[in-house]
Parts: sequence; structure tokens; C-alpha cells
Amino acid sequence: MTRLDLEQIGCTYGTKRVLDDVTLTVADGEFLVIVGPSGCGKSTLLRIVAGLASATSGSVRMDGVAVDGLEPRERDVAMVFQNYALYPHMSVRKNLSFPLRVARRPRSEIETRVRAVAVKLGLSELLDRRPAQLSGGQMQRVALGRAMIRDPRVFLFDEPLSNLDAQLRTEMRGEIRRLHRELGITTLYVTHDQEEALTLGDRICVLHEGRIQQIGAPLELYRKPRTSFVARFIGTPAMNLVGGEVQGEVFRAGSLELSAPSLPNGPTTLGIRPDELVLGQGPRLTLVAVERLGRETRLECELDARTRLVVCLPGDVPTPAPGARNVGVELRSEALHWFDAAGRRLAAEL
Amino acid sequence: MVAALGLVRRGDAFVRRATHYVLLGMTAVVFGFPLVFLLLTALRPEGQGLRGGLLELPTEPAFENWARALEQMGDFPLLLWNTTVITVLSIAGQLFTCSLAGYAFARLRFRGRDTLFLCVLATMLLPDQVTAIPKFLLFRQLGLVDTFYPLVLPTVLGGAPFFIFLFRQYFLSLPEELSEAARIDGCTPFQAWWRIFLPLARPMLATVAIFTFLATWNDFWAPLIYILSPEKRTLTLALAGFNRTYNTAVEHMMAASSIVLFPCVLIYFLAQKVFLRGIRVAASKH
Repeated sequence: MTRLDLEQIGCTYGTKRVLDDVTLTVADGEFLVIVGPSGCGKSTLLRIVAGLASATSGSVRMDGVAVDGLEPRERDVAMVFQNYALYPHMSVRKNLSFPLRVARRPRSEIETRVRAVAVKLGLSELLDRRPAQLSGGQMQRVALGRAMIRDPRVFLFDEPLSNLDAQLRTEMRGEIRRLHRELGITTLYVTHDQEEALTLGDRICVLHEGRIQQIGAPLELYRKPRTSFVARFIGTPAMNLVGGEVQGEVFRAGSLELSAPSLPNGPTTLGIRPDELVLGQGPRLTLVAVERLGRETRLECELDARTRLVVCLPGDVPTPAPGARNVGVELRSEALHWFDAAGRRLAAEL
Repeated sequence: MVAALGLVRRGDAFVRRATHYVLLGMTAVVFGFPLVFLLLTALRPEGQGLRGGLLELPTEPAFENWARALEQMGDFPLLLWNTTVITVLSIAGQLFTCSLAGYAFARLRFRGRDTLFLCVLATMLLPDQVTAIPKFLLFRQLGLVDTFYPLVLPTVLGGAPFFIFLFRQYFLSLPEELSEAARIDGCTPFQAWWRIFLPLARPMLATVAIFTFLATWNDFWAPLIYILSPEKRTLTLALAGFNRTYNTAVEHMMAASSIVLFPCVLIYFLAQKVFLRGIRVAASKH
């Protein structure tokens, strides 16, 4: 069991600042997901932890001991790559046993461990195949097996499911979660898929332009996003954000007027999740489009030329036809999120 | 209209194909001519080597020329052994050092790497003749003249920038994640090269092995400079022995040449596919 501390990690490539003052802790046996859009620095952060890249500033500690100068092999971490990175000239058996063979473990121990991992991941029948003869899901299992076979201190996952189709991705997600529960190894998992982050992580760290936006439990991020970026990034469909201004405790955005007691005057953004909106009494909108997905019905409504709201209604419910005007949408005050001009959450919640 | 267009297209394709074959045929004639000439001359009776037309078929093929040629070359098994030892050692050395250097230039990060690589490439501009005298003086200083070392050491010590370049290109074409995975799995850079990259570079190894084989087997220049004792002579030196001032037996020389040439032609045809694959990979990336 290992506690992982990242302290004020900074990384610069040329003039581009990729990571800026990233500080976070992954507790013993915790599953922490780093999520963010492409280019936000999440993979760089993972590579710094692995020892494959160097931080320009800051320190990585494992159980309180700085590992910054150590080679990957000296850190005792295992990593699963996006493209699996299986050795194409080796059989599944040899891929799995490779880290143990490099470490010169006894042959009997290698055999036992390979067999145990193969059983755990359902690879027993595939041990003599080459990676080219495996499906994407099977390759990912082998990559997982190669990572877990030597019982590392920390597991690192670099978008391991992004090359799989949707169904397989869901299946593998369950598999990774199950393995983590069984092995209890400290895990740092990088993804750009917020749904993956919400379903896998004990905690989630949202990264944007090299800076941590928020760290917290999945539902905390969903219910109380600390910035408008987190608000938009976490949740599908994304949170509706309406830019406006507060003057004298009244929020105005085009034709929308809402009471906003105890909010400071100035430019303000109103956020509201699509599933927190219901049809009823409230601002009158124009229905632009209706999407029926079976388990939910999505309505795209227009408040004015520059403001659109998405409404998610559970199930397949009757709705007015697209083009209908004066569709009332109820904005419940407890469902509203407020952000200041810099995108920071405003303390006062109505 | 459509049918007419189809005919025009078919006609175009025919012309393209015909041009293709004519050009390839002409190239084959140019390159095949010396080989045919060599075999026809080798079949001519003694003293008739260069008489008659260049490609005239001998009326009575003199197959005994090969036996006479072997006899005149001297101790043929010893010549073959010497040439084989030098060739095998050169191939092994070349594969080891060039692949290792290519790997370092492709996958290791160190200060001045690209400048150093440019310097290595720049040595390709120096013809062998320019470095021959300094090299000879060096080997004489080391007391290695009239040994196989001067023929083998330059290749073992990575004296082939073109092959280093080929290996570098090949290793660059392999995914970066492979070396990262190897590092995570506990490999040192040398282990990653030996266990992961070298086995994956089989097409390139074959290409470089064939190139080196052809160059070393046919090398006349280096053995001529460094080999003095008759018992250390190579096949190419023995071939040169046929060249006399007054009575060169051309038909015997050609018969001996065909014997020396045989392994080269055989290996080239056997390994043609691997050879071309290696060249294509090296040419297609970076």
C-alpha cells in the first residue's frame, strides 16, 4: 500500500506551460481519476509520476519519499498505455511474464503468477497467442495483466479504454473496478471521458490548461462544481450556462429575470443541469428540437437569439411539437449554480 | 460516350504497362549482360576466352574450365574459409554495433544526440580511398597488418554510417510506447534494445546482413592492402591472381569468378523480399 503525493508539480515545454502548480494526494489504495480535455496536461502528469518525463518544478513522493530522480524501474509502478504497448513478437504468456523475467524471478514463481493472472483476467486460453491475434479487449486484458503481475506499489492508467468500442469499454470499466477492489493498489487513472471518471473514481481531479480545477468525490463534482469549467465538463448533457449580470439582487440575461438575493453586483453566469429543469411555470421558451432516447427525452429550447437551454425529462414523455412557443420551464432555486466573471463558484446559493 | 472513355482508359493502361515492361526489360539487359558474358566466356575452350563475338555461344562448351580454375586458385578450401570467417565476423559486428548505435540515436535522449548523428552521417561523404592511408598507418602501428583484424574491426566498431542510419529510421518507426513500456517493466536501455527492439528489427537485420555480406565477400581493396601471407588470402585476391601480364586465361578467370559470385547471387535471390522490405521501411519513415 502506497500513498502518493504530488507537490507543486510544474512542467514547461519551451515557452508552453503544460502543468502549473499541481498538488494532490492519492491515499493508500485509493482510485483517483484525472480527467480533462485533450491537451490539459493529464498524460504529462502521469508520465511524471511514472518517471518517463521530468517535472520542471515540484516533487513526486511515494510514502513520503521523493522519487524524482529515480528511473521508472526503481519506482515500482506499473502502467497501462492507451495503445496497450504489448510486445508484438512475444506470446501473451511472454508479455505477461516479461516484468518478472527482467527482474530475474525464479521460473516456478513466474509460472505460478502467470497462471494466476491469466485465470483472473480470463486469458488462460490465449496464453500462446501473439498480440496480433487478439481483439482490442483481449489486448487490453493482457496489458492489465502485465501491469498487475508484479504487484506494483502504484497503478497508472493512461486512457486505457479509449481505443475500445462503447460496449467493451463499459465491460472493461467494470473489470478495472473489480480488480482495484480485489488488489487494493493505489491507482492514478487518466481519461478525457467524464462518464468513465464518474463511474470509476473514488475521487476525481479535473484538470484544465495544466491547473487543477477541483478535486472531490464524483457526486460532489457533479452537484457542487467549483468552477464553470467543471460545471460544463462533468455531466451529460453538459450543464446549461447562461451569461448575464446581477444588479440589485436581480439576475438579468436577455429576457430572463431571476431574483438573486445576496449575490454581488456584476457579470454573473447562471448554471443549471438539464435534468434539474422541468416543464411548468417559469420563463417562456421556444422549443427548437426534441430528441427521444427512450430512457429520456431531450428538449432544446431557445430563450433568445444567444441563449439556449437543454431540458432532460426522464422517460419518453409527450412534449409540444418543435417550433412551439411559450413553453414554460421551471427554474427551481435549489438547482441553480452561480459563477462569477472568472468562472468561480459564488458562495451564495439560492 | 462512356464506352469510348472506357476504351481510352484501357488503352492508356496498356501503354503504361508496356512502357513499364520495356524499361524493366532494358534495365534487366544492362544488368544481366555482364553475368551472361561471364558464363559464356567461362564455357569457351582454353585460349579462346575473348575470341569471337561477345555473346557467341561456344561450339563445344568447356566445362573442365571450372576444375582448372579451382586448381589454379590454389588452396580453395582455405580461401573459402578465410573469406567466410571475415564475412561472418563483419556481419556479426556490423549488426551489433550499427543496431546499437541506431537505437541510441532513435530512442535515447542525451545532449548533442542529433549533432552527433549528423557527424556520423557526414562520414558517409568520405570515400574509402581518403581514409585508407591513415587507417593503414594506424593498423601498422598496432601491429595488425597481415591479420584479419583490419578487415573486420572497422565494421565491428561501427564504421558503417549508412547502416546506423537505416537502423535509426527503423527504430523510429516503432511506437514510442514500446520503449516506455519496457522502461516501466524494469528494462535498462540495453535490455530494451536486446529484448524488445532487436527482435522487432528482423527485416532490418536481414537487410544489413545481406548488404554487409555482399560488400565483404566481394571486397578486394582491403585484403589487397592488409593481407600479405598466401595462407591468409581471400577469394577476391585469388581471383586477381589470374590476371597476368602476358597470358591471362580469361576463360579460367571467368569460371573462378562465377564460383566466387555464386553465393552472392544465391543469397540475393533467396533474401530478396526481406531485403526490399527493410529498405522500404527505412525509406518510408522520418
